[in-house]
Amino acid sequence: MVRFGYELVPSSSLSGDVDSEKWQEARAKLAQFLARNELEAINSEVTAAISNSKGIINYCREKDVDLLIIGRHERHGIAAWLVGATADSILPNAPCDSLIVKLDQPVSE
Amino acid sequence: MSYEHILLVTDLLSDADIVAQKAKRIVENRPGSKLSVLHIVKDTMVGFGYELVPASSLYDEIDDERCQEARAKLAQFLERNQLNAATSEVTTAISSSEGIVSYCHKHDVDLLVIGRHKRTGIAAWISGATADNILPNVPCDSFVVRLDKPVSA
Repeated sequence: MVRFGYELVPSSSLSGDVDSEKWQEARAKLAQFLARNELEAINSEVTAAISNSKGIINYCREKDVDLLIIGRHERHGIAAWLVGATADSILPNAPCDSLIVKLDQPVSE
Repeated sequence: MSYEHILLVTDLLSDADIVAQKAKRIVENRPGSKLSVLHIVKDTMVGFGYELVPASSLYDEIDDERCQEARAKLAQFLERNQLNAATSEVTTAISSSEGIVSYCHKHDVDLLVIGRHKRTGIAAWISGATADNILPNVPCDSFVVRLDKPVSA
């Protein structure tokens, strides 16, 4: 995000940059993830969005998704109050059914 | 990992059938899995000075009538949807989410199937949907079926 006076603007909308190091890293990781889990995906995509929930919901709407599968980390204490889990913020807006897979506490990498 | 104990939570409203059909299909695709169906009747609460106490802790029969009504409705619901449930239960709890979460803990549920009504405006801010409240606390995976706006009965 880039500050623009009082507003925050996503920097990708200014530079149109989708090939920087960050993007390539994410794509490589996604490829590894697919290979490791032997997933035969018709589509695999890395996109930018101002928040995870926003990006996921837009994707669901655009591509007519029927079922969304997402993990949900357990959150305790202040983290739960402040940010909550992505899965929680998606539910009210997801245009389709969702399968929420329970995970343990957030892991680092 | 496969799901062995699948719990369908229902509010027994008219659009609960949509959720039931989906749960049914999940169970049918998984030979060896068992289905339980749960409906929560909210406790009648009694004000006790500053505290709210479930009336059932004072009088045993207070919720009986509502429970029986709910049981009859649940039986109809099972028959209408031709659900082969291993257990079907009506329990009382101080809130729907409380009841669901403690049932999951007690009965080792692997997958919880629940409907979620769309809520907009003030209702979304004030009460939210039951499905949202249970997510942080359920000990298992959950399948949330999207429904339209809340229906009356």
